Amino acid sequence: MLEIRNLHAWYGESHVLHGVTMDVPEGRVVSLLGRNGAGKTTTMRAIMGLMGRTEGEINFGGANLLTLRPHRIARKGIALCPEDRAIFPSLSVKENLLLPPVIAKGGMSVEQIYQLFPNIRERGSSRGTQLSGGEQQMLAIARILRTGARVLLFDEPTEGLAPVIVQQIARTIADIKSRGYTILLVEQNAHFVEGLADIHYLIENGAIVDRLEPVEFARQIGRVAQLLGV
Amino acid sequence: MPFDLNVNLLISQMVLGLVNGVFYAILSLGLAIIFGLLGVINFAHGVFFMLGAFIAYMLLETMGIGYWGGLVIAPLIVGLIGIAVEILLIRHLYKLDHLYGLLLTLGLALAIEGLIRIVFGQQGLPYAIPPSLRGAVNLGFMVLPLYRAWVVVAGILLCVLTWIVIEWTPLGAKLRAATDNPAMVQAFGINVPVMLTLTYAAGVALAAVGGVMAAPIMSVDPAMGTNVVIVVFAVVVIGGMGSILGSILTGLGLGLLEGMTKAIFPEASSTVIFVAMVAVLIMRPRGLFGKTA
Repeated sequence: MLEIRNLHAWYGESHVLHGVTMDVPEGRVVSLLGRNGAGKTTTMRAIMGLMGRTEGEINFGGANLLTLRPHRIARKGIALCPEDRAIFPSLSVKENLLLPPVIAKGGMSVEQIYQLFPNIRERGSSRGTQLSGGEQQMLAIARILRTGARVLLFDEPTEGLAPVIVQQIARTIADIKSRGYTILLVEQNAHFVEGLADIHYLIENGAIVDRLEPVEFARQIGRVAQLLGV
Repeated sequence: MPFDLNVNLLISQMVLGLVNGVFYAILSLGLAIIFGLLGVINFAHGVFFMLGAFIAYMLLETMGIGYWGGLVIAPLIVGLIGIAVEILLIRHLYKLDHLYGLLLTLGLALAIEGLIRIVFGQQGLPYAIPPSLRGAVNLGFMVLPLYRAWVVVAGILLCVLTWIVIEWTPLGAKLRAATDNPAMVQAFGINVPVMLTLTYAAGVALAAVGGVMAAPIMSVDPAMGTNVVIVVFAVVVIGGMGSILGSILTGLGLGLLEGMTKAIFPEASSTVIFVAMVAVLIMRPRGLFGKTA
């Protein structure tokens, strides 16, 4: 269980998270929905230790992650698939895939990953940034599945992608979910997370404003979509 | 007649130029690695080259450890000094402009060089060629001292090996990824601060290998690093920052150019690299192999 309690975060003088509190139970998919600038990515970055100044608590595996450096957090079994995908331009596709160190047993083998993402095998020797946006997203997802991390953070995996690719990503995340991973899924697209997530949180102006179970979420999806401006 | 060209002289000067080119390549390679990952323009690089030679000299004089032992031990000691310098000084500058790193390492270079002058004096100290590398090989067009042939072959091998490690191994992939996006590499569980420390140590240890190899050719002199590093910075400007292979090829190429100029127009041999630098800056400001302006 990943517990976020009264999380505050700052970019320089700018106070951007104002007491975020939420839970990501083990083996479940939790969505975090909000408009641009609401604090979704900042929450992800805070979990990974990538924010300069933070207050509050993020409890996981018996430790408050806010006291740990990013590589220690990753070694506790949390992996981030960032919003910009962060494909390394100096590395080939295969090097990008193999870069994150294996931190625990139980990660997917390279062969399993190639079965899930056949394009990655075919494009292995290309530069990572020569891939299409959809392929880059697949690569960003694939490389964290190898590591053995059991908590996966997906930051807007559908951003800027064609509908057919979005459907493919939804199927992939559903597949990953069925393998028992714990997933925090940040999105602006309420319809994308509707069938995927077990719990939905809405964030506005750096604070959680609602928590919805799937049935309630489905009933209110029109209001949620309006709130997100989609 | 400055332009009375003798082909044998030209080729033999180019071969000798290659010896200097090897030192330029080793040093500019280390500078490129350090700048690529740490973003620090390491002006102290020449001083670590000089320290390599001085430590080899001290190992020989005080403990009787000869050239081959010195070639291993001196770079290790310089690497340890590099670790201390990175932890105590350089890591505090990563969030600042590159200029601060340049100023800090320039100050460090002046301080270390001054200290060596106080301890060892101004004069160059002799360092003998190891017995196994004395003598010469007859290449037909010239008689090449065996030691210089060794420097060329070993130096080029060292550069190529470093290039292979960086471009073709998982360790090199981590270094390249950390150059692209250090925060993300750390978020994958790689200890980037330790990687930065070890990269600085490896870069300066490489300079120290060059220093030990240079000791029997140049005398062991407190200014030997400063003299060579000025040329090496011109090499880096010509090659362009950020390219490992570019820094090796430019270093070797400019050594050849310098040697060639010695045969054709000796008066210009010490300035030809700087003329090339001006020409490259005018025509291609990012350098021959540089990625960005």
